[in-house]
Amino acid sequence: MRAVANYFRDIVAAIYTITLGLGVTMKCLFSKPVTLQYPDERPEVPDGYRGIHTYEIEKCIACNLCVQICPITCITLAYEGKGKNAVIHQYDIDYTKCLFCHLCCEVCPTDCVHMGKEFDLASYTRAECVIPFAKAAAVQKQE
Amino acid sequence: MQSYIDALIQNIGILQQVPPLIIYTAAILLGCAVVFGYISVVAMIMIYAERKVAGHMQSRYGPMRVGPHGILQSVADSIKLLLKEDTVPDKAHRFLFKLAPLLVFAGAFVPFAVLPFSEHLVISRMNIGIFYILSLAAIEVIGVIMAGWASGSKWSLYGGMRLAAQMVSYEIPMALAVLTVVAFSGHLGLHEITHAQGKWPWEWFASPLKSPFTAVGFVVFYIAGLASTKRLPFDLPEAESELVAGFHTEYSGMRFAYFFIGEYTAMYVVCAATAVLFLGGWNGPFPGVVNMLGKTFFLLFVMIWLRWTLPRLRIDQVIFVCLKVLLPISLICVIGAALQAVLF
Ligand code: SF4
Ligand code: SF4
Repeated sequence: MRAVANYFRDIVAAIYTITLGLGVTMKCLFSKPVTLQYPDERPEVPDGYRGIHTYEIEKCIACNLCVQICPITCITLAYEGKGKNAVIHQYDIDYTKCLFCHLCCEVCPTDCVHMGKEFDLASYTRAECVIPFAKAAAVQKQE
Repeated sequence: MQSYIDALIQNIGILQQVPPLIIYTAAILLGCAVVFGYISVVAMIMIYAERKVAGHMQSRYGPMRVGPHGILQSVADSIKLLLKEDTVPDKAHRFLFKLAPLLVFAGAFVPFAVLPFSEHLVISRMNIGIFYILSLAAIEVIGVIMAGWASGSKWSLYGGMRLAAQMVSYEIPMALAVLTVVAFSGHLGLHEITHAQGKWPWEWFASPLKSPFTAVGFVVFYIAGLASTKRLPFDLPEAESELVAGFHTEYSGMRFAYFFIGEYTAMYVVCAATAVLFLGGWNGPFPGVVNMLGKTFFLLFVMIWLRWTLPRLRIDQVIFVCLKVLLPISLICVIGAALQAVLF
């Protein structure tokens, strides 16, 4: 007798739960999608996001601290002179290696390197993932 | 259909000089071409609709890139499928491997000969219409088992065997559910069954007011239809997480497209048959074709809706649902419907 009762209870439960499930999916069908049309729409990046660095070349005193603290030595720094008179030729960060640990920004005495909000690094070659910040700054200055 | 052609021959002078055999053959080929065009377009629309509905049900957008709101996605996919390389695995049985997709497609294609779109828009008013549809569904099973076996791959074989178990067992409750309707209409022809139902929903066989037994039969038929078209929650033959893609794992390009279109056509056939048997066919408040297509596409939407709601069952659960739930219920319905038809 118990088995028969269970059998019918199972059938009723199946119908009931399927209706519940159908209700959930129907509600989702008419709610706004949570995904974005990525290249056209960009997500809003929150403050404190650790994206690609921003670098202020005129503040940098070429102290080499960021190069030393970087756990995977992905910063390449080349300069002439010392302190405020330093001329920086090269400040490259290799983003195939960088783990966005923020240590370089913390250690910088003049606060000239920050974590930015840019995250799009797609490229065809590995060389393109190395961003030459000093060169970019020079180009910007010329313009 | 034949009467139309005879009338054409009589009214157009030139046609009388041509031997009738040629005219009939041409008419048959033309009819096939029209149906083929129709089902390709319907399959394309359904594939697009399925992906779009699936997307929105999962809070995504679905295809968005090809054309406005991804409307041309199916066209792009078909071009891709046509251009793909057609590979035949080394271990496959070449002849059966190539024959299988055609059989599956033929099984899904042939029922259009009797499916009515409205009172007069039908290719053949066969007097055993529903029997014809059910028996041709069996061709598809053979095609799928053939595909599974001839591929020479264990995933395909498992898929084919599961499908054989599933489809053969679900055909029983399906046929019994049809019998509940036949008990009332007293006829196997789709036209007579439709005429046995009225214009309004409470006069359809799906309504408990007409007969509680056909109303249950409607649910049984639809569930068995889901299983026989391999739709979720009964899509074990394809179960991509276990069997790669089941019986069509080894197929590519055009041959895969045959399976794909065949699957969607079979869905369409099951929904159209359900609409005719239980939802009053072309009867309704609108012109005939609109009623018929409206009901069919509503049932198709429910299929898609169920697919994106329910998880996949295990094979023993699938067989349990068939043999221990649907079969006894449909037997009771047949007896009840027969008694009701005789006594009331
Ligand atoms: S974020 Fe970390 S890994 Fe990246 S450059 Fe700075 S110190 Fe190196
Ligand atoms: S730590 Fe700051 S100031 Fe020192 S080299 Fe790096 S970026 Fe320049």
